[in-house]
Amino acid sequence: MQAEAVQERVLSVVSDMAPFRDARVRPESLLREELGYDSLSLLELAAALEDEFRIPASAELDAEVADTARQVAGIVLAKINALAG
Amino acid sequence: MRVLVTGGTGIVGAEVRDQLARGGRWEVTSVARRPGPEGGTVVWNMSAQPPPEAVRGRWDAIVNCAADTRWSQTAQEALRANVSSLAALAAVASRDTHVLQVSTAAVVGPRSDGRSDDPGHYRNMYEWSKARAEHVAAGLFGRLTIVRPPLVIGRRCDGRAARFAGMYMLLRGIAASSVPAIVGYPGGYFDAVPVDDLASVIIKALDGPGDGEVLTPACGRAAPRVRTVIELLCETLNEWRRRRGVAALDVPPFLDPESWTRFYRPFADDVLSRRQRLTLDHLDQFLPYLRLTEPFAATHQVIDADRAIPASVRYWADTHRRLASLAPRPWQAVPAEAKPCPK
Repeated sequence: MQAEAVQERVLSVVSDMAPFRDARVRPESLLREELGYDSLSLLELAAALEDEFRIPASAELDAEVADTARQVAGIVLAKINALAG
Repeated sequence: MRVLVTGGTGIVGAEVRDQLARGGRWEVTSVARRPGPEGGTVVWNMSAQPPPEAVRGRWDAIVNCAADTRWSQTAQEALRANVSSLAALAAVASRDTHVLQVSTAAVVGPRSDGRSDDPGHYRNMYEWSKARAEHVAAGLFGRLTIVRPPLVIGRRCDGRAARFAGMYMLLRGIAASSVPAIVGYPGGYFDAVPVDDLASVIIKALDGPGDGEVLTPACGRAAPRVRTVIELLCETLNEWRRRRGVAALDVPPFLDPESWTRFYRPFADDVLSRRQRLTLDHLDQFLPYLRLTEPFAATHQVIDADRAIPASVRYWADTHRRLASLAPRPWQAVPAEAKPCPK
């Protein structure tokens, strides 16, 4: 899957799930400071991303270690590639 | 009559601001750490910045709704968010400004009457910091009223809420299939007030004497019980999902808190995944609120709060469509071979 396409879909999910409903999500958006994520909502974001990308629950995404939306996209892409490989 | 509303983009502040503005009697200015979606809010990080020009001048009243309500805060975070921010209001309040401090009914509990300074007497640092804030307010302001609501949910007519905490934490968890069980007493009190009821009490109190009176708008003995609330959350969310062709979620089973702590929790630590364990750590914060056997002592009786819950669930789901529509994800033990070996 193309990195750009993954990032676009990740940004859409990050935006939909962001606690600050009025925030505009960019790749460099800070998840906690700008979008209002806390550790619990980051766990929920990971579940939503697994749902979006059909990642099996057993292959848990660790989105809570990311600081920015771009880093979340990197984590998702790495997981997709690992599962495909 | 000029009134300053802090926390103007939060669940309570936004409703107070709107009701005051509709009343037409008050000239309202609202402040918040971030600009709100509708504009018109003055940005002021109260615990970190001096008052901006827009909040200078004489205020007849200040309604302090600014708070960080996360139960997972450290003592330092809670003090900065809930006490330092309050202290900053001393720079804009005059001797005759009537300050309404929005606190929490939970400062009174089995081990505290709200006056204790011992963090161990509270369920978490949030409650402790709100109790501290009440003491600080009493020392700073000449005219003071303290309002102690229990959990706050959306307004009765349409469920609108500007922010989602407390009951919504459970709702989010159920929607994300991250609540494997409700650890609590099914018959325990779950006291929650619709935010429009709360705002009405606050606004009426603006005309009060400001003599340090403590108001507790709550359901008290009429509060819905935990089982009723959980069933309402699940039924309403599943009805919302059914209309969109999304599979229903199971109602989480109830577990006795003592059995959970002594048996299930240690066992869960051995067989669950990393994320499942992290999720349980978060949900443990909710545990004390699902085992309340004594009701809050209400000074202002709120009735039929359970009838406001479905509207709150629907509003939350409408504003969190992706989370509300997630496919059910059953909790499963992690196979032994999938767990890393101890070093």
